[in-house]
Amino acid sequence: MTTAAEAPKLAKLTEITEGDVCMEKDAEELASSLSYEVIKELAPDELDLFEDIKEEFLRNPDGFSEKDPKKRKKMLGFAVPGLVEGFITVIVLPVVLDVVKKIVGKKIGEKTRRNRIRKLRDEAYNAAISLEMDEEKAALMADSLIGKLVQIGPE
Amino acid sequence: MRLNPFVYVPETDIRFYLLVLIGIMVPSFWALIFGIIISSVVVQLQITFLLRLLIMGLIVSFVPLLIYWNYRRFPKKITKQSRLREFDPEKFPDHSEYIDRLYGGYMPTAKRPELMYQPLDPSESAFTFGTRNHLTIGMSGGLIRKFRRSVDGFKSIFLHEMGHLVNGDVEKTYLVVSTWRSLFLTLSIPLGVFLLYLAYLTLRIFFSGVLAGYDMDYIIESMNLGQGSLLLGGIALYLLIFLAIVYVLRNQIIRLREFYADARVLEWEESSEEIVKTLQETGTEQHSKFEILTKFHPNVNERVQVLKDNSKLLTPSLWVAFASGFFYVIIEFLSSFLKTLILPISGEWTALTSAEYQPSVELNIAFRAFISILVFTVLMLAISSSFHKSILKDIFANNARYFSTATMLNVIKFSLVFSFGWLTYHIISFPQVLSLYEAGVLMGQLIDIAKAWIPHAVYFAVALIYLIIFASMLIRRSFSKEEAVKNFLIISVSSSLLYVVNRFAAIEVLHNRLLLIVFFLAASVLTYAFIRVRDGKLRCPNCNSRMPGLSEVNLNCPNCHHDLYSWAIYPFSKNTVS
Repeated sequence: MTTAAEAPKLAKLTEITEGDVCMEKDAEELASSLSYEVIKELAPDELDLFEDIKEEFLRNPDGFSEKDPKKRKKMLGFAVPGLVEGFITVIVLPVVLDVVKKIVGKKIGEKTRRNRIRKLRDEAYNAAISLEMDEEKAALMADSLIGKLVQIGPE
Repeated sequence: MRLNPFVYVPETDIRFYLLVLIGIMVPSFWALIFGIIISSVVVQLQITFLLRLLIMGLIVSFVPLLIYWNYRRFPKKITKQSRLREFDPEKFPDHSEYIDRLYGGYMPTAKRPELMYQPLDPSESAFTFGTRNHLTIGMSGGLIRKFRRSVDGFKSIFLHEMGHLVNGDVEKTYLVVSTWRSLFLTLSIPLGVFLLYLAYLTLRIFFSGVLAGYDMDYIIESMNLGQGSLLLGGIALYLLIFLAIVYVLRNQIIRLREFYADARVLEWEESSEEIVKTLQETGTEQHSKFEILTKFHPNVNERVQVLKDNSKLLTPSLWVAFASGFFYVIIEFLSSFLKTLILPISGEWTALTSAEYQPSVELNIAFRAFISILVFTVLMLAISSSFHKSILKDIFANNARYFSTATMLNVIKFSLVFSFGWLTYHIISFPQVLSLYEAGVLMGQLIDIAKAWIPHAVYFAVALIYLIIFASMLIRRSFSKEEAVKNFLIISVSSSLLYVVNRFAAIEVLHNRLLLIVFFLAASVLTYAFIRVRDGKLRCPNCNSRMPGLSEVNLNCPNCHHDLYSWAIYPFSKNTVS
């Protein structure tokens, strides 16, 4: 089987910084690339929909998830399931963007990395929990995200 | 063995179309009544025949136009409400290739639908919608994801939707839903007009009285508020009950089609294993018997049960009985009433509006008999289809000599419920006449209606008994699908004629209940003779050898061993699939 969506290029953090300052205009692009990488590890079966969900998210970051799918009456449908497993992408995108925005405009030196890495990880974890991701997945997501950030950070 | 539930005409199809017909007739009826009465009484306008025809023409053409307009805008509305996107095959190459393979296996190119999807909906589901010439399958993002998790689960869900398309459910469902919306809207209009008219009359009396200087007690007494409220409340209650019944019947038909879409998947897959597994994985929500009346989907357990053993699809449903009786009386009664309104030449209008009005048993007999031949024959196709399938089960699965005790009990239950459906329209009409007649007269009418229940069930049961006896004989003599359908039509039409003759000739004209038996025996002798004459020509469709006595069912030709009943029995599985 072919891969789902084409993977966005994961830029080095230094490539989107001017001197030591991350440029805001590139934040969304970075968040998108990071999210894609995180989803690839956490929920690869959602990659087909990544671009669509991202598009909806960027269009309306504050309220983009399906409000209440049960309210739509599907007359001739397969079933109305009792328990719906939500998309991880829907949680990862806002959490990653939030983390990336915290880096934007800040000096990203060696010291910053060392001091803030744990704090960023905890913030990502808490944000995911507040968006109703379960604890185990939230921890995996936070670790994966921080791993990617470290990977692309300044040498 | 597993029996094919698609052998005969789907009884839900007939009920779908009759619902649409009622959706046109009922608003027309009410609009005409209000239009004519109000203009006759208030404006003192002499309504000529041509004017009546013109009003009728306008109203009757308005309702179908409204239905059609609703039907056409449905797909756009659903696409917008569900925020569906076009499914781009280049974006989902694996999904597209797989779907094409499913189409290639089971769906003619002409019927292939447009695909759309909603990326933010995480439920693993799909739904079909659209019009006859533009069908669409809408997939959830969850279903797109399911393809990666379990391709068999994806297949079961997608095939279920294809089942709806192949079964022709989409256009009928959305036509009926459009009818429902139009019915709701058009029934509210006469009620609103009536309310305004009543308010206008009351205020006019009040202000005239005040200006003339009458005593306030006298004015209030003249306004006759009690009777006005009773009349208005009665009409509102009638419309409410009527709409509730139509709503439940509509949901019940749509829900039943879900079982048939599953049955189509089973026919294609020749196994229920995958779809049962998928249902058990995805659906956990269960509804109570009351809740299910408002739902379009059956409970998952019910679906699984029917997939494992499809006897439920081969058992006459009491919903069919009720709907048939209810639809029949509405169409017959409204046709008769509309005819009276348009052609008031026989004094029937006077009889209807007099205080001594009795239920319309004696009115328009010839006209109602004519309408019944048309309508009841169509309804009989639905009833007959249910009983033919039941007899198939008796003969092939239960090995009954003719038919089982369960089928005989079903005849009794079905007749009683059919007759109850037939009376329901009269019962729900009561609130609207509460203010017009004396309590004694009303009570008398109610007792008359109750008394009519059992006799009417008996007239109907006579036709049903005729139907099951000769359907059982003819099913054994059907060695191909074409022959089976032809025999089904012969018995359905003749049993419907027997009912109409019994009801109108024996009961309403000649008032002789014994004639029921005479007509039944005469019809039976004729039909038996017809079958015996045809027996001489019965041959195996494969080797053309003459078939010996048919007292026992042989599944294969004694000469060439050709499968004689392949049109009724699936070759692939036992009746109960574990």
